[in-house]
Amino acid sequence: MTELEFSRIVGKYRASVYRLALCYTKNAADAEDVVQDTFLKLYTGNVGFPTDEETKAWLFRVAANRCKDLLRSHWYKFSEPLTDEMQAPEADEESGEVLAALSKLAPKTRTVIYMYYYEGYSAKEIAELIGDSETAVTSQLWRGRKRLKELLKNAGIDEGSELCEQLR
Amino acid sequence: MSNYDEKIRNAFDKIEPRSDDESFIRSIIERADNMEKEKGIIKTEQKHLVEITVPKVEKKPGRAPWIIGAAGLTAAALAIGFIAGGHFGSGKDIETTPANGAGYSGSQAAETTVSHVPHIPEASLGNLDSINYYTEAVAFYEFENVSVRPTGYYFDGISLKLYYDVISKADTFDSGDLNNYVQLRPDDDIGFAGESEIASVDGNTAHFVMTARVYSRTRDLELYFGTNTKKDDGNYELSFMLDDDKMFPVECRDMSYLFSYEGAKSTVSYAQICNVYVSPLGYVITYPGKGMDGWGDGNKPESVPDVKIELADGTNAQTTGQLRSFFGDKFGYIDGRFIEKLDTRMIKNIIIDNTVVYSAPDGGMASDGVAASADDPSMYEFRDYSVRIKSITFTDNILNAEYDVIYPNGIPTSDSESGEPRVLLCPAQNIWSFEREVPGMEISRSMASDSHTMHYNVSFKYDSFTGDATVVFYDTKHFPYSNDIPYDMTYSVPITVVGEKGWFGAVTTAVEPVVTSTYFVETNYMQYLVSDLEFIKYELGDYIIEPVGCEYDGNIIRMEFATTDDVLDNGLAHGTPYLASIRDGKVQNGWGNDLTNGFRKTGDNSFVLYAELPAQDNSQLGIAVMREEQGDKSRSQKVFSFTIGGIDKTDFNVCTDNVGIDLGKAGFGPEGLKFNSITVSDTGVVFTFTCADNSVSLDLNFTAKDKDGNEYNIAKDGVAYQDIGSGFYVYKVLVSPELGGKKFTDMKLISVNGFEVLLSEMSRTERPEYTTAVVSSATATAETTTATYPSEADTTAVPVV
Repeated sequence: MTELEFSRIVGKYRASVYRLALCYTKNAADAEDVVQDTFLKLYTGNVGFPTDEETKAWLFRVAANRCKDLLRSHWYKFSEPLTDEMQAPEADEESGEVLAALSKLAPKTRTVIYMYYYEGYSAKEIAELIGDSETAVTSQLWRGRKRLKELLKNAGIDEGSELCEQLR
Repeated sequence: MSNYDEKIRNAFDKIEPRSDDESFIRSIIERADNMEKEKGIIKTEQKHLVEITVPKVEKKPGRAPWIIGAAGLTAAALAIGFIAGGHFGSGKDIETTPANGAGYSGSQAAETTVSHVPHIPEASLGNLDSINYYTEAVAFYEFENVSVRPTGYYFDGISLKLYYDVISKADTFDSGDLNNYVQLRPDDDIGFAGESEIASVDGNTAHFVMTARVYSRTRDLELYFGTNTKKDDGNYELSFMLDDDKMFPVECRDMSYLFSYEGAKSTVSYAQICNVYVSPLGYVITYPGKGMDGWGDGNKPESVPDVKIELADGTNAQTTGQLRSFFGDKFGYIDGRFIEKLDTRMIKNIIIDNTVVYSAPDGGMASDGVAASADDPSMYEFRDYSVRIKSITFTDNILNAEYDVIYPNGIPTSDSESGEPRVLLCPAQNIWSFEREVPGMEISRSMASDSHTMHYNVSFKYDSFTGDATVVFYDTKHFPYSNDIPYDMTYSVPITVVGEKGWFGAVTTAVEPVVTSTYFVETNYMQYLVSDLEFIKYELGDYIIEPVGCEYDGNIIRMEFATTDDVLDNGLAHGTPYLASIRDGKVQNGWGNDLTNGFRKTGDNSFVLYAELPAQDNSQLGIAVMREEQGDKSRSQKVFSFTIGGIDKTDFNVCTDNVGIDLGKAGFGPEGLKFNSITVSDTGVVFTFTCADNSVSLDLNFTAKDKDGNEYNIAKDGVAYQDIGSGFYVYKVLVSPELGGKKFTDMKLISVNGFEVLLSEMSRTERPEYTTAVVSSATATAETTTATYPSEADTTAVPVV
C-alpha cells in the first residue's frame, strides 16, 4: 500500500476505528493504541482490498480482535483507569448524556450499538465483523436499547422526549 | 433515519481521535520503520547478542503468574542478547535436575556476565515437566515435550518483541507442541502479551516471535515460560530491566513524598510515593502495593495527584490526562502519558501536588540550547554523544568544520544506534526558521576514529552567502526531521577566523561574502537533470502555486513557484508550502517534512523553495508539496513527481576516438590509468577509467560553453568505486551538462590530474587528426581538434602548466 493510499484510508476511517475501539475499551489512550496497532497492521501487512468498504470491514475486524486481546489481558483486568474517558470534550448536554449512558453498557453491547446505529451495519454484518452469531448480536441490540432507556431515564432525560419515545 | 438513530449518531459524532492524522500517520510510519530495522537485527542477530548480566531469579511456586521485583539485567542496545546461566557457549548439556531435585547445579551466581553463544540442544536434557524450585536464567527451559530457548528481544519504545525457539524433542516440530507457551510481560503485568507467531520452522525447531505491548513506562519486565499441557505443570520466571538509558533518563529514586488522599478508606490518610519515573513517553509514579507497608490490598489513591512537569523553557510537558492505577504485589502505579515525545533533558522540575519532588541539577536545558551546566564552551552535549569543535572556518565560500564526536559508550556499531550531528550553515539571525539553511554542497569529508571518538573534517561549498553566519550542529539520530529539532538538541556556533576554536554564544561574526568566479566545482554527488516535471498548478486550499522552474544538483533542489497568494518575507500569507521527498512512490516519513526546507521571496507573487535532497536513488525521486495552515495543524498535500535524469541521448554526439588510451603511470599506480569509455546515461555523460590503484583521486578538468558561447572551466572529482578483480578498479565520473545553474552546449575533457588527455601515452608515429570527447546538449556537434603528440620516446604524460 502506498503512503498516499494509506493516508487516504487513515483520513477516511481512522475516526470510525477509534470510535469502535473506544466502545470496547472506554478509554481514549487504550483506544488510540488499538487504532495504531490496527493501522500499523494495514500499513505493514501488504493488505489490499478492491473496495473501501472491504478495507473498512477488515479494519473493524482487526480492531475488534485487538480490543478483545486487550480486554483479556491480565494487565487490563488488574488495573483501572482513574479517569473516565468515554466522553467527548465538546459534547452538548444531550449527547453527553447519551455517551455517559453508553459508557455504562457492556463493551460488546456498546460496540454493537455503535456499529448498528452509527456505522449502519446489519446484525448479520456485525456478527461477521466481531466474530459472533447473528442471534447474539440481535440479542445485544435488544438488551442495549432496553438498558439505554433505563440509563437515560435515570439521567433525567424526560420520559416523553423524542429519544425516550424511540426507546419504547 | 429515526430520532433515535440521530441521537446516537450525534453522540458518536462528538468523539474524535485526540491527535491529528498527520502525527498519527507519522507514528505509524516510524513504527513500521523500526520494524524494518528490526528485521535487519534479526538477520544479524548473532552480532547483536552481547554480553549481559544474568538476572536474579526468585523462587516462585509453580502456579505463580508473575514474579515480583526485578534485577539488574542491563541491555546494552536495542537489540540485545539474551540470558544465560554460565552454560552458553559450552556446547554441552545444561545441568539441571528433575522436578523433585534440589534445583540447579549450574551457576548459582545471581550476577554473572556471560556471552550468548547459541547451540543446538541435546535430547538428553532431562524431562523437567515440573519445575517448582529455583529457576535460573538459562539457555533452555525444559518441558515435557519441548525446550524453549529465548534468543533475543527488541524494544521500540512501544512494542517489545521476544524471539524464542520452541524445540521439539521429537524429530520434527509438531503443532501439538504449541500447547507450550511463553509470555513476556512487564513486571506486575503492566502491558500485555500479544500474539505469538511462528516465523519459520527448521526441523524440530519453530522460531517464534511474540509481541507484547508495553503500556507502562516501567522498565521491569519478566518472562514467563509455562505450559498448559496439564495442571500444575512447570513454569519458569525471570525478570529483568530494560536499559536505563533507553527507558528512564530521569529517575527520582529514594524519594519520600507524601501526598494526601481522601476517600472511604480512611484508615490510610496518605501514601508514600516510592519512585517517579519519567521517560520520553510518559511518567510512572509508584506507590506501595499490597504486601508492603502503606496501603493494603486493593487500596488506591482516590484523588489523582496533580503532576506537573516543568521544562526549562518555562512550559509544562503536556500529558493526555490518562492515568491508570494498578495494584501489583509490590507496587501500585499511576501512569501518565505525554502527548508528544519529551526530551527529558529539558525537565526542570517535577511537581506533585504543589511539592517539588525532583529538580534537575543543571536546571534543565533552556530552549535556546544553552546548557546551564556547560563548563567547556567548546563541548556540546547531545543525548548520546558530545561534540568537540576544533575549528570552523569560512573561506572562499567554503565552510570547513573540524570536530570530534565523542561517544561515552564507544562508537556505535549498528545502524540503529548510529547518530551523528549534522552541520549546517545558517544566517545567524534566523537559525530557527525554515529559511535557516544556506544551500550548499558537501565537497569533502574525512573521518577517522578511535575507540570512543569520531574525528570529522568536512567541507561545504556554497554558491554565495552574505551577512552574519552561524554554524549549527544538530542531532540527526533523534531528530531526523529538521522541523522537529528541539532547541536543546541543537547548538549554534558563530563562525570564527581560520584555526580558531568556535565558541558557544549569542555573538556572531560577520562573514564577508566571497564572489565566486565562473569556476564551478562539481562534487562527488552525481548531478542530475530534472525532467518530466509536471509544471501544473496546484491548488492548496485558497490559493494556487505553480512551479515555474526547478534545479537539482544532486544535493540541493530549488523550485521556483508563482502563486496567487501574497508572498511575505518569510512565507506566504495563507500558509507556506514546503517540500518533502518521495521515493518508491511514498512520501518519506509520512506527512512529516524530512527535508531541510528553505524559503525565499523572489517577488510579490513568486518564491523559491529549496531543500537538501541527497541523491540516493535516482530512479524514483519526487517531491511532495505540503502546506501547513497557519495556526492549524491540518495540512494539504499535493504530490508531483519527476524523473531524475531524462537526458535525451540523441542530443549528444559522443566522440570516442580517444577512448582506450592510457594516461600514463605517473601517480596512477603500477598499471597506470586507462580511459575506458564514454557513455551517455540518463543523467549525464559518464567517463569511465580503470586503474590498479584504488587510492587515486581523479581530478578531471573540462571546458564548457554556455549558449552564449562563454567558456567555463569545470572541475570534477572521481574516486574508485568498484573492484573489478585482477587488481583493477573502476573509476566512473558522471558529468552533467547542466552545472551551477547553467546549461552548456559543449563540454570537453581536457585533463586528468593535470595530465592532458590528448598528450597521453600513445604509441603513434603520425599526428592524426582526431576529435575529443564532446558533449553537446542541443546541437549535437563534435569539436574537431588537431593536437601535437610527443615523440614515441616520450611515453610520459606531460602535465599542463
